[in-house]
Amino acid sequence: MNFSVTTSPTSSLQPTMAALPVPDIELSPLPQADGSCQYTCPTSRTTVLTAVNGPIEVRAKDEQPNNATVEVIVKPGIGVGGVRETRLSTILQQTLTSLILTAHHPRTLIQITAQILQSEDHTNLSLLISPLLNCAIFSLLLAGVPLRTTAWSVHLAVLPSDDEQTRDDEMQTDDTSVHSANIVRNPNKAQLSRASSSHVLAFSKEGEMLLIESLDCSEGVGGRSADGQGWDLDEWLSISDEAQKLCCQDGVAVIREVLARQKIF
Amino acid sequence: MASSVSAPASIAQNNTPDTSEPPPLTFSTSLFRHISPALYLQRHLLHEPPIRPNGRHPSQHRDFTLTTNSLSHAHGSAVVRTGDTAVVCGIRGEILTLAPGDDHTAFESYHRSHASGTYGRGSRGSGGASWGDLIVSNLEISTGCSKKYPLGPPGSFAQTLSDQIQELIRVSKLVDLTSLRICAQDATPEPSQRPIKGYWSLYIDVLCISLDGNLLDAAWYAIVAALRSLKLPLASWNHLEERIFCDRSSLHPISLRGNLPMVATFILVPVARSSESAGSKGHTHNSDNIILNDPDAFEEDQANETLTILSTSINGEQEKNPRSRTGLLGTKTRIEKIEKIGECKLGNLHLRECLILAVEKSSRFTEALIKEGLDAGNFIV
Repeated sequence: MNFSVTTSPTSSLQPTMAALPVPDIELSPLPQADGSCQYTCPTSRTTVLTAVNGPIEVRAKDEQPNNATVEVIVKPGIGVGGVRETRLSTILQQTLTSLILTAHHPRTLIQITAQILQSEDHTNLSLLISPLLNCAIFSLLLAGVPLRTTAWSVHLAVLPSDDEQTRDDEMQTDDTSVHSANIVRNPNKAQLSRASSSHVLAFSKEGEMLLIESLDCSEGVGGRSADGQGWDLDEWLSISDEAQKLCCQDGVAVIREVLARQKIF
Repeated sequence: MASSVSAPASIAQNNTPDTSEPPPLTFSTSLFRHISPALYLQRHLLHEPPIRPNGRHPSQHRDFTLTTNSLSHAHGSAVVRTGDTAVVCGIRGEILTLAPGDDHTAFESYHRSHASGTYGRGSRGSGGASWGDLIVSNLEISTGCSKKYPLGPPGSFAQTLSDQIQELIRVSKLVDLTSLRICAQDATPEPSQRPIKGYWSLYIDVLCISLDGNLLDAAWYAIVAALRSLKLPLASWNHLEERIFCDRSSLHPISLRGNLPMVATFILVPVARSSESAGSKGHTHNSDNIILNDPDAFEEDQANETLTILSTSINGEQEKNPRSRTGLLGTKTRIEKIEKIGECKLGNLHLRECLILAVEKSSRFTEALIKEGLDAGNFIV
């Protein structure tokens, strides 16, 4: 992927990344599943494995007369699944359902199982959503599940403008705008802990907004010191534009490249 | 709707058989609602002006009533009712004694990154709260509050909401965590210099007693109101017994944010306009989706796109002048969280519109708080 990373290449927490890394994608690692994929985020090193089975027989209580039922199961990297995994699977389920042409396989089940293999912070939803979503889309493509379109998801973190490491970098980018200079794509845990806000966004190939998970994640004791945190709508729109550009150009290019490499489509 | 009701069936049956057209299939409005709920909702929204089956305008939220301190055993509580959705929120403080050597900074920060591995491991608790969180929230959907959620362990809906609420508390940083300190009563004049002996940890429990859609907003309002009404007993460190003692007779509030962040939820409902009406009015792609503010349960079932905005509107002169909406949006409204799940029909224009509605709704809630005597001015500690 043609990322130009604005983060510190000298940071001790990550290897030098001059040319930006394509996510590590292994297609069909699981021979028994209809479609499977293992995905490693290039910068945050979050690794997930997803498998898709479908269309298969659906439990009677979940059967829908006109549509396929989409089920997403998320298995955590540590311990047993809890409230957070349930939330994660709800987010993925609703996002993927809007991509799948469920009317093509009525009264069936499309089951997506996701296993988090590695993550810097297993409790942080925003580090997990984007790899899981991208990985699940590859699995769906490999399983031959009819999709309306493909999509891609990125995680952007906005660092405060006075952030030391950003200033030290003085990265030479074409873009001189203040906002984009402080946006980190697919941040790792260390970058995210310095960030003021975190945005997980997913766009379809056509540029439709599929998913927004934007939140303020600045550190603080709260109370009155937190007054005035957050962002303006215009700031957010510029972030969303950036994400849209990334998803629709680079993301789609990655999908195309990975599938072409495997001579699948 | 007028369009859905035609001539009664009896008249249709009495028609002479020589009419070439078969008698139209007719049924009552309430039957229409059950047979084809999606179409029923669409017909309402296609009406000019659009009106929802519950009689509200698409951008109109339900009015709410707020009662605080109705639970005698909780330190703070609130009951919020919006339409047919009613929630109770009770907050209880419990004392957390620090062991010698505990790093108290771990407790006093939202979104801290755990430096050591042990915190990271410990944070994988079974609930939504992570290790060291002084505020623990939980949401329960009581049996019988809705037909959709039968008896049993919390389903994915309750779990998702519970986690969302925990996230809202973390993101909004509503409570000043330093105000939960329990310090030793030293001779040190500076209160910030006193050694910290423990903390108040707050257990926020939300119980939904009646569910008619948009539980998240009601739950959040109940939490905010309950936190405002929260009064903790005065806790102090006793040197002789080396324990923390509480004085029930003197109560104190905790300090919250000055600008209360408020949640507003919207759904997007697709409206399939017939081709001629869409052509004549020149509707764009966007206008084929209608935003419904504060959806009820029936509308929620029909929607597959949900938008939740957490925002603060900073009280100032702009607030008094409703004309300067755009100015209000540009400078005075801060978004702290946006969550949008499902489908892909939301445009930037929708977002702007929703933000204006969210500001309106939150100012309405602030009014309700002031009416309860819980306005911000009373609670500066």
